[in-house]
Amino acid sequence: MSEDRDLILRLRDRDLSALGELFDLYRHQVYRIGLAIVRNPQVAEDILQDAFLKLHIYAHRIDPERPLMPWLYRVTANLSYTYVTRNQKRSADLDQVTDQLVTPGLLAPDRVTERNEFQNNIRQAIETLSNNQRIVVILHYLATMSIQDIAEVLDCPVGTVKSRLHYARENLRHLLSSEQMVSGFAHGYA
Amino acid sequence: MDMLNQFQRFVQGDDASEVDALLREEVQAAYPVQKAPTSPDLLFDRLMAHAEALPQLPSLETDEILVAAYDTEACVQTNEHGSWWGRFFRSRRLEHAPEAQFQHTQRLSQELQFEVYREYLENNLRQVRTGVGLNPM
Repeated sequence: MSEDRDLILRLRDRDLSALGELFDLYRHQVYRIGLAIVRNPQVAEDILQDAFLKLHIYAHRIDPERPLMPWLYRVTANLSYTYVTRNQKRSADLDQVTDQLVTPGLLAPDRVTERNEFQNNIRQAIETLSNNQRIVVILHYLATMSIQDIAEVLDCPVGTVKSRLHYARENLRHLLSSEQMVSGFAHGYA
Repeated sequence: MDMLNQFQRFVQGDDASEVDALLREEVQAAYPVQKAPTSPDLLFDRLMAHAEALPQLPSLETDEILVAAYDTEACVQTNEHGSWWGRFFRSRRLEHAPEAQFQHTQRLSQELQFEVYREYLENNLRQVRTGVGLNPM
């Protein structure tokens, strides 16, 4: 937090190395959110660059006393949402994204396989949601944004976000409890 | 926690806050933090493009950006951090040095034009004040 503060103040003084340090600190999280929403590594990289370019441009408007990550998430969500709404057609195959995901190596090999299967199912279920529901799920559960913040990013009423989130949860429940998925899990854990 | 139990708790759960917490945990795990491609070149190019796109007037921030980007002292400071960013800027500064000189020359040229224009205006104003140049009645 105090590191954020110092770096933002330095950036306000046009110290570009501060931008580089912020880029080093947060680029992975920003890229993660961008990629989850746009599902295209090249576009996610562009969004990553744009987010930090905006940080450079609007550094003087950022409150240095508050953590930077929520601000970066909002900008990333905004850029990603704009891209998705302009390019409704899927531009990347899910497999292409899945291949790039790095799995933390904390579990034993057999547990890793089970865990991967479980996470793949969650991810696939999220991917089958409509764009509106998927983006709300990613912003709320992955970017940990509040309903209010999501409403501002998406430029829609808070009630709409709540409704999308409610239906997204119901759809996920339905998708994850389908015969095939349950039997897959049961088999994996037998 | 057993993953199957966790999964079943989500699928069958009634407690909204519990379901919410579970879902957050699972979504976080399903989209792990991953290495973003390191492309400082692109960010640098975009910063430069942005700086160059701004009007090149001496009083505007453009000059500050360029000064910050090419300032030798700042270069030493970034190198002390020892990051790729510092090394990158050092190399790119050298690479962009002729361009920076061009920008500087361009700025001087604009300042000169402003100076000439201001002299022209002041001269005209003086002529008006002293009656020189006005058509005689």
